[in-house]
Amino acid sequence: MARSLKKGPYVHYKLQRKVDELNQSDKKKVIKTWSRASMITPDFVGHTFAVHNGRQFIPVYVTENMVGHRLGEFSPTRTFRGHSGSKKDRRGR
Amino acid sequence: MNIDLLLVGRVTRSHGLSGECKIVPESDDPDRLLSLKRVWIGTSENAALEYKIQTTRRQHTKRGITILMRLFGIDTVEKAKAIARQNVYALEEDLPPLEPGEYFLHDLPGCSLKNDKGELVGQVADVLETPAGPMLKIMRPFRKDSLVPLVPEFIRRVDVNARSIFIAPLEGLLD
Repeated sequence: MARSLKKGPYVHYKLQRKVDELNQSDKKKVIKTWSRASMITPDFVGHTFAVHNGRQFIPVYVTENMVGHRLGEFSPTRTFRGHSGSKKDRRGR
Repeated sequence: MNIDLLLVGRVTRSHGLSGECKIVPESDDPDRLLSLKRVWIGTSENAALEYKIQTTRRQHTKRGITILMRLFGIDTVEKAKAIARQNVYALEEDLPPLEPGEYFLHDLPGCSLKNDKGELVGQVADVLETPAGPMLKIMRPFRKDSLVPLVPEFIRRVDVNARSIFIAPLEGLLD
C-alpha cells in the first residue's frame, strides 16, 4: 500500500534539518547519514550525501533524476566485482 | 590474440529467422556500435573471432536500447544461436574517436590525484560502477581508502597522458 500523500515524502528529520541549514547558508559539505530510507526531495539536488551501506559510507552526489528515489538505492550493500576483466568502452568527461 | 580489444556489448540471443543477433551494449552510448565495420565475438578476448558486419540497427526495448547486428557468415538462426551469450569486442581505433576532454575509464587506475593546490592526495586504485555512477577508489598512504564520485563538481581536470587527475574535494569527502 502506498504512503499517504497527506504525509508527504519520508525524510529523516535530522537529515532534513542538515539540508535546510546548508541551503540557508548556501554552503556545500558532505552530509553523513545512516538514513537509507529517506526519500530524495528536490532540495537535496546538488548536495553530496555519504550514505552508510552497513560497512562504509558511499558518497552520493544527488542529481535531478534521483528525485523520488531513496538514498539507499545509490549505496549498494553487496559488492559485485563483475564477470569480465576486459576493458570496457566507457567514457568520462 | 595480442590486439587490444574493448568490450562493447554482449550477444543475448538471435533475432528473427535470418541470423540477426541481438546485442546489449556495454558502451555508455549504444550509438557508438552503429559505426563499426567489424567486431570480435567470443567468451573472452583471447578466444574471440573476427566478424565483418553486414548491417546494424537500433531497437528500443523496455530495458533500454539494444543493437540488432547482421554479420557476414552468420545467416541462419542456428549460427546466431551458437554465438549467443558471448562478448562483443571492438578495436579502439574502429570506434568513434574521443572528443576533447573525454577519456576512457579504464585509463584512470594508477593516475595520481591532486587537489587545487597541486598537492598529491592519493592514487586511483580502481573505478567502481555504482548505481549513482562511476566512482574513483582512492588509495592514500597511511590512511583509509576513500571514494570520490566521478562528476564534474569534484573532478576539475583529467590529464590521462600526464597520469594526473585534479579534484576539488568537498569538506568531508576524503575523511
